[in-house]
Amino acid sequence: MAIRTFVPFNLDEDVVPANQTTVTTGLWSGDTGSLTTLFTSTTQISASGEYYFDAYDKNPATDTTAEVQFAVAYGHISGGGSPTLAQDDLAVLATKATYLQYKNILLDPSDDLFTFGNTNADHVYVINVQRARLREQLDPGNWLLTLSGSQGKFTFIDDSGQTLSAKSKTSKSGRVFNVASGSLTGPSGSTVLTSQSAAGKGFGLVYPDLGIIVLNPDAIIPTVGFESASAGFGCGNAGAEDFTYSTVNTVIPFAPFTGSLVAATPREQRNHDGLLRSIKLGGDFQARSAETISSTHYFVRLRNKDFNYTNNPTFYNNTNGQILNDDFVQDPRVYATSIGLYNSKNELLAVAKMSRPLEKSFDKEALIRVRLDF
Amino acid sequence: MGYLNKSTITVDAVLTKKGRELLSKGRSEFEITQFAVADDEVDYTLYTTSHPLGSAYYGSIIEGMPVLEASSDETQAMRYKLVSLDRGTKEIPVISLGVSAYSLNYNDSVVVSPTTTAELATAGYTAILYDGNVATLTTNQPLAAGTTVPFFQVNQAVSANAVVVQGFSFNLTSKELTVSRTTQLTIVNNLTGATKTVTVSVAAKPTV
Repeated sequence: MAIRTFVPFNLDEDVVPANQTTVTTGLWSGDTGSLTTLFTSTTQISASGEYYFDAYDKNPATDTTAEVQFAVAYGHISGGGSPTLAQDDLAVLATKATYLQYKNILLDPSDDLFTFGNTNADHVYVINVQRARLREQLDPGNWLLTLSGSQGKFTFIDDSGQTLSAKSKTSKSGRVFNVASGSLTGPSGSTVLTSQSAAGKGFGLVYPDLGIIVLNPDAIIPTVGFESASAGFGCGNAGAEDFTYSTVNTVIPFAPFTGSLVAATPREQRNHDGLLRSIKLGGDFQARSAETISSTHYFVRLRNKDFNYTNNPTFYNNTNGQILNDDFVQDPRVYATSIGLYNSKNELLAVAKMSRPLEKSFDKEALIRVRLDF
Repeated sequence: MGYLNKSTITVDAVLTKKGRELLSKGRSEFEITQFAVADDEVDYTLYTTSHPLGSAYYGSIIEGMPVLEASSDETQAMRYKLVSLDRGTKEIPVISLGVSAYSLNYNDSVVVSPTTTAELATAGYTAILYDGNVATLTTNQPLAAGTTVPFFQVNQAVSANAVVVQGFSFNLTSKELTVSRTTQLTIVNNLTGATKTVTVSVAAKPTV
């Protein structure tokens, strides 16, 4: 019998290359699928709050394990809600920059405005899932956003699970689905109630490959019921990070205020705070991430005559090589714990471990499937 | 009607540093062609032939122990390989170095000549010096051309300061040190997987 420690694979029979598997998991930190509480960071808001607010799963001021889950932003095609350069020489036109930024990312070059249903929108809310949460994509058909306002709580999903081929399209930004009012229940996995507001305006679009949800304020606000904002009474009037600044109504979120002067002072209105407040009060943002993993399977066959002895120093006398346990001379038993995968140069490229030691002897064979993900 | 025996075990593999390095160069560089099996964390003194419940339980302590997660360091994983030998084998091939340790003075050199039963040394040996800052390790008697290199890529530092070479014998030369230092030298038989590890001590350069 040939002495050997390495066994070549029969590449035709033992190796199953490049199996594509889609793995889904909860989108939020800890692989949880439902986000019920949200926090913001005063540090982030003071640094970049005119553009977006980050939403954390825990309070970043008191918990160092807090992680950003998603960001909300508000964009306006003509800069509504931001001071103009005429009003402030240092104005950054945050809402205009935001609108044009997402337009460039999501729309075709010939498209100047977001269109929801058959209606163009001058302004948009954007929910942008943190890259670390997203992995490869937002799992379409498996997210549900609850928004709360004066009309009550409303849940929004996408229509991918309904009539996929009819309602989805592929743009330069990947797949696009309509945002719809509905729920993740029903025979097909979800139920769409309507994809338009009472005025016939589309609720929004979701780009699962980018992890971006674009909402149409003109449809969301009247449906959910956001408080009308005005100069002196809007999102930009306070720090906006603690959800308690309103002296009028502490529950209902504010609609965007597209003016820019507060008490004659130019000020960023931070209109995205209205959406974040509505999400927070809704208390449930369910979502999954999806990732396509390429796996190669190696079938390791431990035949009865192979691998029945070991170089483990507790198995034999290290000086003369004699097997220490007399029982092992005629009936050796060894316990495999690791499988090493090597190339032709005998370089160790991957290692797999058993969950428990596997007994091997002359009267036992084993078939082990080693999965290697890329 | 009974249930099918779920006899196929499925385990997940993790890439080693070497595997990641080759994968980063492209899938064509990353080609797994063979496997080996090891039992690194098993201590066979736990095989209890005096178990009160009889022979079916001799290995129960070993089989009941949890196994550690895989290490991605190729110098630490797969250290004790299982080997295929004829039934009735009484002796596991062992490597002999003739010494239990190497002690080198400043500017000192020694030839490391491992021996195994003649027919088991045809593939030569791999020598791993775990700290190349202590001594120089080179091949004294090289392998024949075309012989495959086991475990690690030759002349490559696989872990921190480790040095790996192959051959039938090796030169071990001390380096100039300000303080005396020690490291370890492991010799691996390329065919049987037998290993021998000894301590290498290098004295500091004498002060004048």
